[in-house]
Amino acid sequence: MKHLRKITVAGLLLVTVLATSCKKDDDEPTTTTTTPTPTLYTRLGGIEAISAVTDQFLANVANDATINGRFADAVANPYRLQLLRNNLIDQICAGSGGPCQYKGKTMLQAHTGMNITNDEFGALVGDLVAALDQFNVPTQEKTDLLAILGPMQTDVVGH
Amino acid sequence: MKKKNRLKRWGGTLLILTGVTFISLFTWANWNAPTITERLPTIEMSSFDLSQVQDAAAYSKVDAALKHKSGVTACSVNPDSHMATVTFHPTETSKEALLSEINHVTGTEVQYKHFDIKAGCPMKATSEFFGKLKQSLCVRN
Repeated sequence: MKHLRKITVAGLLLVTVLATSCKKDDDEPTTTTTTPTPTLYTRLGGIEAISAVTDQFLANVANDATINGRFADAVANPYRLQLLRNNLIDQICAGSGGPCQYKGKTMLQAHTGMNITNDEFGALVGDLVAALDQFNVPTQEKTDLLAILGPMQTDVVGH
Repeated sequence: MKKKNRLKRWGGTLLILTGVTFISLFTWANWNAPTITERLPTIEMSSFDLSQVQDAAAYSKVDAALKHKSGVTACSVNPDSHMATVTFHPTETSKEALLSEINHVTGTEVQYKHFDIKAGCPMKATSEFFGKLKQSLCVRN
């Protein structure tokens, strides 16, 4: 009985060793000379840069008479401001290929019942562009970022 | 004697319940490591009413003064809406210090700006209590 157990263990070990040693060489990643294109997250400058742009964006929004009434609650309450800021950073970071995960509501869920107009959405985008310009974000990165955020308009406006 | 024993037993039970509750809340608050965003230093925001400021050049002076102030993360001064809004790290500066700086630069008595609330911002207000509790119990930052 004891021998049988030893034989079984040895057999399993042998199978494991054989299975791992028989791994095909072509499974290994091939080394090529082309360097991968950095993600938009990297090109934007990582979390610190996204956080700085987000702060500027929030300051611009609070100063924008067209839409600042929508954000009055968040401005008055530091906890809610923090949540809003973290959600914005997570959204930009995740959308640009960074290591973040957006855990907030979907844009449709979050904006339903608010009856946001196209003008208000346009003003918000204008405030974001102004924040990006203030930090001299290159045109390519700005276009890529706006391309990620642009499709949200259908879920934000008119609900 | 019997009453004293009962009180003792109740006291012990209450103590155990409190301990278990605290340990449970502490475990819940520290179960997941804070995300990269949650690790960022917190900010506060203050807006100032500059309608008393008539001199156009004063707006750029306010902008320059606030941007160079320690703890300020972003600043927006808008001559059209007569407003200045600043985001800052509350550990490094305060809205009182910012107001005093603006008063000093403009030479006028500037007030805080209060907004008319149109509709709620898309935030989870109900979770505020638990969110704050989690923040205060979390030691993984």
